Parts: sequence; C-alpha cells; structure tokens
Amino acid sequence: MKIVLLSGRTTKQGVTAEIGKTSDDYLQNVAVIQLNPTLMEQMGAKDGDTVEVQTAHGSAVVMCHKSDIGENMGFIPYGPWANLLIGTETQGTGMPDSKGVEAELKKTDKNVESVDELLARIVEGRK
Amino acid sequence: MIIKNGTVYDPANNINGEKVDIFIEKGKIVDESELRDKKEIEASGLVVLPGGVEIHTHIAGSKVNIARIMRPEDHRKDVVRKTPYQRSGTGYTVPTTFTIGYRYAEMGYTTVWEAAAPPLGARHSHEELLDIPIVDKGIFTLMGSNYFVLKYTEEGEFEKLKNFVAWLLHATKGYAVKIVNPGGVESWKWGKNVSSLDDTVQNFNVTPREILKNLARAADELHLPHSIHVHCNNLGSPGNYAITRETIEMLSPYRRHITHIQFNSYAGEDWGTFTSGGSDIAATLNKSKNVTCDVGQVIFGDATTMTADGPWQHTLFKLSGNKWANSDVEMETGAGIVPYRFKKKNVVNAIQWSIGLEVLLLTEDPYKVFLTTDHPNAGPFYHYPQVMELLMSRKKREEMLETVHPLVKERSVLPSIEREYSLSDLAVVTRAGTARALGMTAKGHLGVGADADISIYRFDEEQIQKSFQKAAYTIKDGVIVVKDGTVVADHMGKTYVLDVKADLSEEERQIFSKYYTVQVSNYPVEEAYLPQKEVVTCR
Amino acid sequence: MIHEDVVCPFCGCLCDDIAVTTEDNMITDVKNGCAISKSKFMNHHLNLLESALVDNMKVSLDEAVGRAVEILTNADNPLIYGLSSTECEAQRHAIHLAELLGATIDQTASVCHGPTILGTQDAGCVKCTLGEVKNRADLIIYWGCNPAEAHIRHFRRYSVFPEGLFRKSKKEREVVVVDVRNTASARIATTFLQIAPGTDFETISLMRAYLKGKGDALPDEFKNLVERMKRCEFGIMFFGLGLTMSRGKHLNVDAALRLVRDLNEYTKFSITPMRGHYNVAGAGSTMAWITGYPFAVNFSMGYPVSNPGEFSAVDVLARKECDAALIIASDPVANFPAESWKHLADIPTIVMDPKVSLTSRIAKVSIPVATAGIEAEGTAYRMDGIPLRLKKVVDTTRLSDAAVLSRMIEKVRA
Ligand code: SF4
Ligand SMILES: [Zn+2]
Repeated sequence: MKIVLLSGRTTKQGVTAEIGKTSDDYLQNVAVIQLNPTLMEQMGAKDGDTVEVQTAHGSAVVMCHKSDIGENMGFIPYGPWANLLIGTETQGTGMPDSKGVEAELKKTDKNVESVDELLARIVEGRK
Repeated sequence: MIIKNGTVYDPANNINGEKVDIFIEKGKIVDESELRDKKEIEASGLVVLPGGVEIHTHIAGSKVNIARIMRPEDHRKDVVRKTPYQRSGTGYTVPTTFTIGYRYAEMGYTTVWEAAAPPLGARHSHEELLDIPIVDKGIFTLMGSNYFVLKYTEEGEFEKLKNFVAWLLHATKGYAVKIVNPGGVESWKWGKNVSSLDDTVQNFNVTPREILKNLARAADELHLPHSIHVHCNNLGSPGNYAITRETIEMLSPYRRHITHIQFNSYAGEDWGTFTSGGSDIAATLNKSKNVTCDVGQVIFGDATTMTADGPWQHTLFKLSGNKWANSDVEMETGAGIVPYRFKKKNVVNAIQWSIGLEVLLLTEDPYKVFLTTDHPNAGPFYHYPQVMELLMSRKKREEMLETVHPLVKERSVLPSIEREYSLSDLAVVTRAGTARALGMTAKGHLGVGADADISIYRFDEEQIQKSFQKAAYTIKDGVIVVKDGTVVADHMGKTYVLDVKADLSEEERQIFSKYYTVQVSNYPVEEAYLPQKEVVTCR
Repeated sequence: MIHEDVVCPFCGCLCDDIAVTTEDNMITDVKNGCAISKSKFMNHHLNLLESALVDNMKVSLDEAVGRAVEILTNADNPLIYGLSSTECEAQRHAIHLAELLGATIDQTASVCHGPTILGTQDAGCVKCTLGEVKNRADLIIYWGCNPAEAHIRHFRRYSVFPEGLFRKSKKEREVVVVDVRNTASARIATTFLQIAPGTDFETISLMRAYLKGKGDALPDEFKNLVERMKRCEFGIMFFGLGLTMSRGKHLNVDAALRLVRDLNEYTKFSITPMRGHYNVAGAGSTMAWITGYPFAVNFSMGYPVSNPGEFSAVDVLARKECDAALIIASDPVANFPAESWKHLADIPTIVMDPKVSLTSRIAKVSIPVATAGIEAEGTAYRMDGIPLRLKKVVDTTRLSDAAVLSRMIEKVRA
C-alpha cells in the first residue's frame, strides 16, 4: 500500500512524553499510525494490529489505529518511530522533510520495537 | 585617580578649555582632599570631556531584535571578534548587545537610553540591557496609544491617568514617558492613522492634542526627571513641520522633548516639492521655553528604520519596497521595521541630511538641541563623529555639499550657515545638554559629586571625525574601560529607574484581566532584571 | 500551598494562569492547565536522571561537569544544541560557552520554525501579540497547525472563544482551518478547507495572484476565502509545521508572509507562527541579540557566522562534522531523523536534562538539572514574543541549567 506519511503532535504524545520517553505509556501513544478504515480493510488490518512502514530512509513497526484521515495518508505522532522513516537531507534549510514522505505499508506479525530495541538497532556497537 | 594636565571642557560648570586636574575616588569625581588612589593619567595635550550621554537610541527590546533576526545580510558586513575583554558579535546597522556597549564606550559615551520600550515587552528590553556592557542605561516607556491613557483622556479623568502613568513607569521600570504618533498607533491597529492634532482616534473619542497635553501635564506633576519624549504625528511626511511647530507651541508651558526632529521638519506639499522646514523649526525652538529636541541626523549609507509608528513604517515599506516587519502589541502600542538606505544623490535624502544640520546650527541655545541619529533609523550611532566634524567645520560642510544632490542648495539654508560649533557647544549637545534634559544630575559634567564617567580625546582640529571616533581613554565609574579606542576592561554599568510607586484600582485590574493575555501579577518587571540599579527620586 | 499565576513551561502558548498546589515540596494539584501542562507538572519527578553519569557510571556533579568541559575543550568542532525548553539565562550562558569554545550552536527552531525565520529574513513579517487577536480579530485562519492537540488552550485564551475588547465571543469571529487532514481543530472551525499534502505553496501563491487579479486557477472555495480576507476588519493567520516541514519549507512560509503583507493594502492582517516549545522564541531572541542570528551559528572564526544548512544541527550530524556534542534541554534522538543518532553515539555526547531521555541513553556524560519553570526561575518568550517570568514552585538540590553552564564557563576560562 502506498501512502503519504504525515507526522505531528498529539495531546497523548505530549502528555506521555512528560511522564517519560522510556515509559510504556509513551510507546503506546507514539509508536502508532493513524489510517483510514477503508485502507485498513484493504490491508486486512484491525485496530491495534501492527504494520510495517517502509520509506527510502528506513522502516518502523507501529500499531495502527482508525481515524478519519484521507485514504492515501498515514499519520504518525512525532517521536523516534516517526524519525526512523525520514532522511537527513535538509536542502540547505536545517529542516529535514518531516511531512509528506512517501511510504509503503504492509501488515506484519513483527512486534513494535521498544525504545531500547530501537536504540540497539540504530546505534548498536557504536557507543 | 588623577587626570592631570588635560584641557577640560565642562560647560555645565563653565569650564571652557582650561587646564584643570580631575580627581576620582570610588567612581565619583571628588575634591583633591578626598583623593586616596594617586594613580595618574597624563592628559597634557588631550581634551577632557564628561562621558557622552545618549538621549535617544534603539538598542534593546523586541523591535530591535526583530530587526536583528530579519537582517542577516546586514550582520555579515561587520563582524566583531572576541578578545580577552570583549565578547564577539556583529555590528553594522543593528549591532548585537555587547557590540553596542563597546562601540558607545570606544566613542567616549557612558550613558545610553533605549527610547522606546513597549510596556508588555519591557522585561525583554531590560533583559537585553543586561547584555549591554560598560554604559549606564535605561528605557523610556511607550504610552501614546495605551488603552488606559486613551480611556482616561476620553473620560477627562486626569488623576486616574496620572496614577496610571506612575504605575506603568513602576511596572516597566521605565524612566520617561515616550509618546509615538499619539493616537495614530491605536488607529493603525485597524489599518488607519491620524493626520492632525485634532483627528479622532479610531473607536476613542480623543485627539492627539488631548493625549499629548494630558501626558505632558502628568509627567510634570509627577516631577519626572525627564519631560515627555515625543515622536510627533505625521513623521516622515512632506509638510509635517507645521504639526511639529503646533505640537511644540500648544504644549506650552509643559516641558517637552521632541525627538528626531529632522524627520518632522519637512516643508513642501509632496515628494516632488519636498523642501527643508529646518529653519522654521529652529525659529520655533529659539522662541519657546521648556522645550528640547534631538535631531535624528541622517548619515548616508545603510540604516534600519524601526519605530513604534506602525503606519509610517508601512508607508516606508511601500515607498522603498524593502522587507517590512510589523509588530502590534495588545492594549499598548505597535512597531514597524524597514531596512533603508540614505543616498547622497537622492534629492529627498540629501535634503533630510541638510535638515538635521540646520536645526543643530540654527538653534541658538545648545541646551535645546542634541545630537542623535535616532540610531539606527537615520544611521548607526557610531557615525556621530562624522556629524561632529560637520558641526565644527564649515569647510567640511561645503565639501560634503558638493557631493550631495545639487537641489539641496536651493531647498535648504545649510550652505549659507556660517556657525561652527566650539568644543564647548559640542560638549553640550552630546553631554551637558542631554544630561540636563534627562534630569541626570551626576552625568554630563565633571564637578565634584558627578559620576566619574569621562572621555579623553586626542583632538586634532584637522581631523575632527577621527579625533572623536576612538577615545584615548574612556573612564566609567572611575575605571579605565577604553584605552586608545580599545576596550580594556570587562565592566557593567547600572540601569536607571524611578522611585515612583502607584497601584492599580480594582476596576483597572478587572479591565486588565479581561483584555490583556497575561495576568496582572505577571506584568511588572521583577527586580531580578535589575541586578545593578540606580533609583532616581522624582521631586 | 497554592502558587497562583504560574507560567506553564510546556508549549508556546506560555499560559500564565496556572495554579499549582504543593505539599511537602511535592506538586499535588494543577488547575487551569491543559492535559499536557498537568502531566508536565504532576510528573516532573518521574523518570529523573538520578545521578550524574559518565559512561553510565555514577559520578559526582563536579566530576561530570569536569569531564564535560574536558571533552568540549579537547574537541575541534563541538556542537551545542537544544535550548528551547530552558530559560533565557541558561541560553545566554550556552551562547557564551559556544563562543569560548569556538563551537557551533543551534537551537530546536532549526527543526520546527527555522524555515519561518528564513522566510522572515526574506519577506519580513507582519505580526501582533495574541491579545490583539483576542481583542480585534474577526477572521482567524489556522493553516497547517492543530492547536486542539498541540497548543490546547490557544482557542480558549487567545483566539476563538475569549471575550475581547471589540469581539465578545465566537459568534463575532469567523474561524477557518486549512489542513491536509481533518483534525480536531478543523472541527472547531466555521470553515474547513482541505488541501493535498505538499500543495501549500501553490495554493498560497495562487491566492496572492488572485489578490492581484490574476488567480483564475485558484479553486472557488479559496477565492471565496481571499475575498473574506480582504473584507474582514482584522485578520490573523496562524500557521504551523504544516508549512515549515512539508515540501517548499521556507518558501511556503515566505508565500504566506507575503500574502498577509499584501492584504494590508485592503485591511489589517497579521500572521503569527505557532511556536512549539515554550521558550523556543526565547532561544531565537537570545541568540539574535548576542550573535545577530537566531539559529545555526558557528564561532570557529572568533565571531558569529550563521548558515542554516551548514551550521544547523541535523546537517552537522548527518555530515559527521562535530566531534563532541552538548545537548541542553532537548532530545535529538527522539526528534531527529534516525540516521543522525548514529553520529551522536559515535562522538562523546553530553546531555543536560532533568529526565532520562533517549539521548541520555546514548550519552557519554549525563548531567541532571533542575526543571526550568518548576524547580528554577528564569525568562521565557511566548510564541508572539511576550516575555514572562518562569516560577520556581518546588525546591531541588539539583542545579539549574544556567548554574551548570556557568560552572562550565568558569572551568573553560580557568
Ligand atoms: S496550552 Fe500550552 S502553555 Fe497552555 S497550559 Fe497547555 S501546554 Fe501549557
Ligand atoms: Zn527613535
């Protein structure tokens, strides 16, 4: 499934980040993607299923939730999972392309990676 | 410390080029008998003046900083390296805070006033002052379109107005009442303006005339050290000398200071017939009492215009086509910013240049007219020495006149003016006069009891500009802060505030909490922003 | 004890009417704040960095500060980044430290409203304080922002709902939301206009063209919007990361700034960015008054030079140009593209934060600090540039950001 990826703030993201970014609350509210129900049906995904999002820059496994967003879009709250999917090119502005990235979506059996797993995957062996 | 054998110009104490030794102890000028520290500065052959006192400049606060943010192209032309005594920064038309302090001090200035603080942004102005080193400093508080000022003027409630003025000065830690395009700034909030002293302000049944009179009276009755500080209506427009003259005259007998009067001394009907009204304004100043002004002298080259006069800045944006920032402040005031370049061959610019000099030279009493460039509106402050040279040398003026648009010779009387400033005159328009107008009794002179803020120059009659650009010594609070034009000490000056105190009424608190977006308890500037303050008594 | 009129140190709304109740130096209740504000105050003591750490070993604060200074002074090209969630004195010290080190310093605006700054540098900006909106606006446009979730009290305090001087309630205001998705904010609007992702620039440019009599290609609903913009008495456009983060970036903002500027030929119209972090406006302010530039500044020449794209943090990390990093009150590992985390892990990274963050998890040195606005005082600038005093409502033994940074400055100078 091809979609355009959007990211942004949500109240829950704000509330749970203030509890702590290593908290489970945060993961539950940030490692998610909001999708149109029709799209989810086409994919055979139910609310709470995991999907794998792949862009030119990386991939992330997140939980999907129904929303009234457009059929060709997906929305991920700001946070490390959204950032797995965007690149560092800023076209000389300092600002990466954080909104409007093209992504490929598929249903998956993989679990959502925890913060530690994410860090391990990206910075493994570096520190 | 002793400053020995210098040639001293201290007009406030009638010392005019005499060899007098000056004794300094604990940051003050003292009698020889009180001297302990016998360190000497050998000043023979040097000219000794009180430290410069800047009466009107824009150096701190929201509009200055918007200009900085908006003009990276400006900063790149003038970078300032860090030294063991100096923080780095950028200069050009909107210098960074540290650079401002250094450049004033290098020129021998030791006191500077930020001339326009929006009350709601006063905390910001003070926070920037904390990063302006060496000089003493403070702010004037914008009031000319304040909601409560308009309301009480409309209602004829003078006592309430006076109380509010006192409260606002206290809350903002301001020193003087600043009025910009009275009423016009409120009208601009609906995209309108006022154009005469008797126009009514949008949604308020008040006129600029009433606002000015009320505030002038309040400032006098509160015994504020400085008079109202007025940026007149119609600034920048051809023919505006008439409203300036009327403003000066109708405000009698109250004290009033008209600022950057060059921008308000234009005759002619439109840009085509634009001509100088400088001699007319000088004549008005000559015959009026209790009035002072600063000129806002044009410096050819780059400037950044910034005033609370939103409608004028919009006009200037349309005239120049340059980028424009506007910043309106709820219940109080506004601001606009437009980069600008004064060109010698532009006829209007050239006439503007001549007007400032006309007013400076034709006003007989130097205690009535002061040197400013309304930094950075008519040019950066560090070009003052250029103007000093033109004031002191008719020959230099004639040379300059040959390089500017030829119509100046027809539309200005500058070419016919013979007067040349003496060093004493110069000391008045940059020190003694400004200090007196500001009511700063320990500044602008070198008598016993004055602050030991002193500037010493290697004065060369043939090279006046160069002589004043870099002081041989600048002494601040008895500390040598500049030597041979270079900053040699890490020093912090004081912020000047008033001892006014007043409270808001219950009704005022209610209006405040409804129509402002901050709590009234969070409005007054806290003492934390005044780590080194000097409290001036109003009497 | 109840602390009245506390300033909320979370978002750019900088609400200053929060009532915080404390008992035994613990916050027990928060009134007036939104859900996020409550969470920040009530949970500020959770997931704290319990101790200063070097290589994940507990050390004294002094040791950590000493190690940090050693790393920074030995680096050829250190990066200082963050600043937007702390107070201005800390920011001023951070800039001083950057100058002493010859470092690059950048603040979080570079990944939120940096493009807004670039747009302003090109076109200027016609803005006003939020009270002007409350008192006067009869047309309010939110473009590419979702205050219902990000600036929760914005509608209630500043724009749609409050009683103002000349506008008394929502009835007297028209609210338009333009977005690529139907957000919670769109539901409050009187008109919601949806556009396709990545078409902000063309839409706004066509609006400008239409304003000048040439925008035939503009969809009717937007023609109608332009007409209403011209006719209103006082208009305001708020915009968010929908403009700055999507294709076009500063060009989107530039177009919007020019549209609003041009509307002032017809009426009074202003535009204000919805700044995110509570003191990101302050970070831009302090950097501008000290260096001349609001972000992306480098001091290696001994004077400030700014160049977004060159000295902005994401780029510096992506190009692996810095050889040490000091992160103050920010969490780039949560907020930057994942590729840039790698370099932060490769170099010695120092984190100053009250809490454990993703960046502290990969840092070499972690320094726990007081939470500004809860455990430390200072200044913060609201999204519209209004400065307010942050309050201290509980005591802590931890030092403030400003205090830690001034210790670092002392050590660097020693
Ligand atoms: S809207 Fe923002 S500033 Fe206001 S209470 Fe909520 S988080 Fe705090
Ligand atoms: Zn001025």
